[in-house]
Amino acid sequence: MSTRSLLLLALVALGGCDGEIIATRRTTRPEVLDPGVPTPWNSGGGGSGAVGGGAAEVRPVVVTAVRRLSRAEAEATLSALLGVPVGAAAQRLPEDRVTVENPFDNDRTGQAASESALAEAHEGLVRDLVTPLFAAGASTGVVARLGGCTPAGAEDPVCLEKLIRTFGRRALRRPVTDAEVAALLPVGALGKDAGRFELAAQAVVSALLTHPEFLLRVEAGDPATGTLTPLEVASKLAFVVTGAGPDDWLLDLALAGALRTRVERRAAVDRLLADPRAAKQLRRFHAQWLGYAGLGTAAQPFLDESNALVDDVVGQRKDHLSLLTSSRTFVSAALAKHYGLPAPAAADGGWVDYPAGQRAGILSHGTFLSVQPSGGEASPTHRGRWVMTRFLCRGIGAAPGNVKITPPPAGTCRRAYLTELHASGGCQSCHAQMDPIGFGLERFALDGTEHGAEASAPACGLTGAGELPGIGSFTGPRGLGALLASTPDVERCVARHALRAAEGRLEDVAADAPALDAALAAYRASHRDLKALLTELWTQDDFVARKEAP
Amino acid sequence: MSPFRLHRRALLRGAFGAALGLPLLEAMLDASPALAQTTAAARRFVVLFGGFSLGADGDPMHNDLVPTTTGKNYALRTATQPFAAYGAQSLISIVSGLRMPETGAGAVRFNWHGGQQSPLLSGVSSTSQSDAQNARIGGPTSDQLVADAFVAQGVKTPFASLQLKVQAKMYSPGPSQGDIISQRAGANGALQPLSPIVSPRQVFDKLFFGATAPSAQTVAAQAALRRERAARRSVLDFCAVDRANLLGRVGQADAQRLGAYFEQCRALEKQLDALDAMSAAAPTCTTPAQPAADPPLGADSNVSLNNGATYSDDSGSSNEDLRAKVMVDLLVAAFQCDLTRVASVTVTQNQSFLNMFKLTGQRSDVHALSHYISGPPSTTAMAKAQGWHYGHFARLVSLLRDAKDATGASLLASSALAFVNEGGHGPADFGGAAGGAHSSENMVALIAGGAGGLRQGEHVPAPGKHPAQVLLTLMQAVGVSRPGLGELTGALPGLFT
Repeated sequence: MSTRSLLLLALVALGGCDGEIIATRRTTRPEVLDPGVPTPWNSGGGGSGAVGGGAAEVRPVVVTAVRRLSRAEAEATLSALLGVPVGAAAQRLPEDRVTVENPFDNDRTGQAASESALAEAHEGLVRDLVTPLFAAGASTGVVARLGGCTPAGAEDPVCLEKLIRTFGRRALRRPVTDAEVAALLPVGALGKDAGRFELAAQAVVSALLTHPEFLLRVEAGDPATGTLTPLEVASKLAFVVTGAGPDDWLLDLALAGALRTRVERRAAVDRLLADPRAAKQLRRFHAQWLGYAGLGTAAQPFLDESNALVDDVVGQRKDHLSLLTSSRTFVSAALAKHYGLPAPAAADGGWVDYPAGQRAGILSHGTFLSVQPSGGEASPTHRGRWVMTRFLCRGIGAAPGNVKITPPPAGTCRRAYLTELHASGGCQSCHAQMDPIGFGLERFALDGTEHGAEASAPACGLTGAGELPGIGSFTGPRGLGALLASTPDVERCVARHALRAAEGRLEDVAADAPALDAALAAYRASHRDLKALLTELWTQDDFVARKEAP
Repeated sequence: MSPFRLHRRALLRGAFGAALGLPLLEAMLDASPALAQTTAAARRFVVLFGGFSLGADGDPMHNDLVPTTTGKNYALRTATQPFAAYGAQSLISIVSGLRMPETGAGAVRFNWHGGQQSPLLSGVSSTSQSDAQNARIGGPTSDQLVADAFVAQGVKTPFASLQLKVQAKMYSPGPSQGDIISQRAGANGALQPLSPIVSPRQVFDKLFFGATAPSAQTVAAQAALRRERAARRSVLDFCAVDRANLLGRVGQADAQRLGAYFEQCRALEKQLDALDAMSAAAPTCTTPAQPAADPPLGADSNVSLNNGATYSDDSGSSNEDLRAKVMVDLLVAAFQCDLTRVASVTVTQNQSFLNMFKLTGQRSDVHALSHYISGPPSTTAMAKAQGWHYGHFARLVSLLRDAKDATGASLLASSALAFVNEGGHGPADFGGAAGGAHSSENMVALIAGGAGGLRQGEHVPAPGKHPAQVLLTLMQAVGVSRPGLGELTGALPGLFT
């Protein structure tokens, strides 16, 4: 990879400038849905240097609305209900859209635009999964597992009804109505005709999973209380904590009316957090927040490293922002060698302390360092933008349309070239917010290895001196992590991302201010225990309020 | 390929019809087969899209595609070299010199990736100003106008149109650019974006569910099929069992969204009816074998201990070459069976991050090729990636040439196809300098098919004309004459012989 391509990548990640163009739409703005009402949530975190702040272009509709299960939620839920992996069949469902502002795949606000063939896609997915389950020669006992009864023969209306009610409650996340039972019972004739009860069971299970209330989560609420119904609360909690639909115990609690108070919901959240899927969901939260959720299996050593740190920090309720400052890391022997770190005690993985140098925390992991749209070499601009949006919640608009990438002069050092290039042509207002951050990570390649000089230009030494604009200067991931961990804006930005993931939408700085205030207070009071923040967010009354359109 | 002989209507006349409360068979009478229209008068219309520009930043060469001569027998260049394998040079015309302006009719505004989508496909200037709305299309697209016109003309194929997609994923941590290239104007004027289908298996299910070879039509197999189809109907019936109650509990926006799902379930039942009627009436049609399981989705990136992030593996891709082949095969079969006459294919999406390594051996994604991110700066390298797209287009064209309709005529002779792409090369849009890939100058459209006497196998310069005018001309070629497409008026008579 040449210096040239390296430089160009830096440009293209955000659409740079070629020195002649005038960027017309460049603003740095708080990354938030801003109705123009001053609150602590749209002030840039207490005057710490946010730039711009123009009104957001898209106003949110902070009302409770139907949301489609994300692909991941549908996969996890179908897998739990049926006991089989979903695999490649999941690609029938629409690809979940994420934005730079909201990186979580459960964002409901753009979902409807890709639903023109939703029923067809989902019906086919269900058929793909369910048909082999009940095929002749498939393992027996499926009916017993899904329905809790063993059919007495090819036709057994009692067992069929039990299957409808038992499986239906899990699939629809509410009791099946008598009318629905009556509508489904006639498929028993299919089993009789075939001489196999399983065919009727297959139709029942398929019908229940294809029903819109499986894939589309309705939050109609209780008009009398203005809140979600207990069953809707059960679903919301289950999906946000475990990434899948509610288990029987949680539905039982809801039907017993035991999710109405904060204390009750707290107990449910504690129990959900003990579910092994909750730990996976917390890993996913970080992977999506920081952008490395799309890494593949070849990157497993990197994923293992970051997951171990997340598990340790969040699971042990340590200071959450020690993610950014951790002085040790979990590496396999191969990864330690790759990084140039001391070998762990066990070849398949162990914690090692970082030696003196620029490494510390997740900012020096191959996961975080590899994140950018294209491969090649690392882009300081992209990394700066990532830090701005993910840790400081300061948005920077999309690339200018007039970008054109011109090759740099041979032998020019990256930092000098980019600095000079971006100083002109209207580029500076945005690039000054991003490039100095990325320069501070310049010693670290996309694969997390550290280098003292540019690969193709050994005379161009890399110091790792960087600056977080308006906040302070730093050196390397260690310095940047320490600076971010001591910046109050970062705490706010964590709370914002937690709310985005919990609600499936961007926050509204006015409507969501009380929820964010309470979550932030819980974070700070607990010495930044992420589970304390999340539990506050998930149990407070705002979380279960039914928000109507004005 | 096996003859499509499933007599669905007969199969349905079992004991379950009444027992399961299935729709009455009379309903099928409304969905009369399109056989009557399967004549020489039938016309077909296809738009394909690729998410690339024609040249690389800074390279003085605008493209490695446009012939230096005009008319027939043009020389193949890097991007068009794949035509040779399919004998398609004499079938595909290259319309060059197209441009989309920054002001006036069909203008590209606000943003580059995505900003061209609207003028290119609908002739309406881009309107979206935010990242979230990027790639929003401002009007009905040409394919949907044709589909609506066909329906108005009395064409009754089971599917008014198909939307397919080859690139299986965005392959980027975001934001997602648009992959939707078809949009319909609903009855109330509201625009409805039509999502393309990514899963080849889903396309097969949609087109050929329940079709079977005669060899499989033993009594037992027929009974099994009958039950399978009855089960599917019961599933679709159940979809709307609680419809009124559910819609009554939610607000207007939610009701609209849920209502759309209910409508889709109902539409699926109607499609089954129509397919039944088709298979009962068109015993000579052939249906392809069911594709193997869908290829798994690839990772966005496979940065690893060994390869850095150098595009040296199959990350950033999901076997798109196989996907393209299967989609093309299914599309040709759909036309042969007259299941539809209109289609759009998103081969790659805007700002495509598809890794080309397994497709062309290039260590780059499509987007990076235009911006020198990997490999030496080269319009020719960009053209090689275009060639992968164009190869599949050439294959589609050649298969349509070989496929015959009920009268024995080539399907291609009565079709109009266009392959359009994201950008050209030249002065970058929005005041940029010369030699930019983010340019709507020097654009090209590939066209094929003999409908209406379109020129085939020629290089046709159309300097200054808008790509939407090419689509408008193709609409005219299939008998859908309109004064304009979006804000653009004036078909291009030079595209006809």
